[in-house]
Amino acid sequence: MIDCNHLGESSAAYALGALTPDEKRAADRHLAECAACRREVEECRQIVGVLPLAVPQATPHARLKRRILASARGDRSDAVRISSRGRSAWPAAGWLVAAAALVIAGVSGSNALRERADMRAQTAALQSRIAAQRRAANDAHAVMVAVADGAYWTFPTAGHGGMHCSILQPPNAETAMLLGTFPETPHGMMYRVWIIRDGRVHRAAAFHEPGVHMMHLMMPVKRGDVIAFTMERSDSSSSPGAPFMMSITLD
Amino acid sequence: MGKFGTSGRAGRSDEQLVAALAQHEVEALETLYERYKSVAFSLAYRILGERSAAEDALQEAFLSLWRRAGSYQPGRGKVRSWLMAIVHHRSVDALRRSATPTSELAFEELPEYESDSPAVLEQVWTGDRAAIVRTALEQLPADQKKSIELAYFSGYTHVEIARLMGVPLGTVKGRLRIGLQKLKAMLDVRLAEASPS
Repeated sequence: MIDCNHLGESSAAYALGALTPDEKRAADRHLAECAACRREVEECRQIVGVLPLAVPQATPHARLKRRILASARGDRSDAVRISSRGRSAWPAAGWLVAAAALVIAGVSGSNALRERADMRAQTAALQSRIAAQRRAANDAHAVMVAVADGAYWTFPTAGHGGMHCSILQPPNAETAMLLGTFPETPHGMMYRVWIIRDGRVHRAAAFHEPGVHMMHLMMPVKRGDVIAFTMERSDSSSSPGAPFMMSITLD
Repeated sequence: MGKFGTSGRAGRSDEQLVAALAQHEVEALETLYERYKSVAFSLAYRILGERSAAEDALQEAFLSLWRRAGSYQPGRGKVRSWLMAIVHHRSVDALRRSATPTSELAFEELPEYESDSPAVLEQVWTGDRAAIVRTALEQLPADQKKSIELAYFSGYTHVEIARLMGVPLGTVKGRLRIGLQKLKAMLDVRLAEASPS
């Protein structure tokens, strides 16, 4: 417990971050009004402040710098590489961040630690949920790598009910596609995704659930490719069985 | 000027760089990252023991700096102190596997510095003198050193440390406080000896 009047010997624990949450709250209230204890804590903090130098020095991987700077650039809307067909005022950066957040939520490094602990404790009944989380983590990793090192395109797909699409091409990894607000298909129908390159049509993916999706495409994309969508009854054919309902160009 | 100095290759102080961050200058973030990446990463890695988790903590810290630079007020604490506090906070938080992520540590949450850091102590950041800090910590009495390490690097509360070490809470409080005092005394002497007269 904190001394009822002053922090006393707890000033060091405070500076080291070693008080319990209740003690910390009580100490903060006291420090707001006690200059003497603030000075004591400050003296301790000055020593604690050099403790980071006491550990063996290590260097982070070079990719971390790229990740951080890419994230910072992503915060600046004018630095995001955008290709859009339709409304020029489309908030592409905001969409990408929002879409990525849907996937990334809960799977950052610290969360991954928790997830691993949680998974150990899950019962067999929850295993399917865990598998879904793993897929989300992999997808989130693809997003992070793409944002840091690769290329991406994002589209408002204007004129198609506000449907959104982002294509992520990490280096040396599968192409990922984020789709948002696609309406539910009629019963028995599904969306099919095609990549058109040099006049040839390649099957890329299929989905039928409404809402937000992240999926891998069957082949890498590159600048100049056209991503096209059809709505069909089956995913079995290797060529489109219905007219393209919309298409977007990766320019 | 040494590796954590305010001049050097980049030529701008931490405070000037944070002012540039507030203007969304990514190059300023890069300069700050280069300046503190090793010490910040080393701290996170010491706490978490896992490179990827340490890198996540570092990323969160630098992006906090980037996003909250506009709220920085010179005189309310050093940028370096804030950055290290964020790295420590995030790392310990990850270590404790808290159920709910904590919020970012704002500049406003830093204690107001009522005086500048002692000039002697400041020298550890302006030269290659980290070894002096390591040596001083190593030379503390074992119980004091262990208590400080459990608190700062392992994220234990003093109540938990008392339980771990099988001693009364008051004993742990005393070890932490006396340990920090001795550390300061040793650093004062050794840094003064190492300073050019």
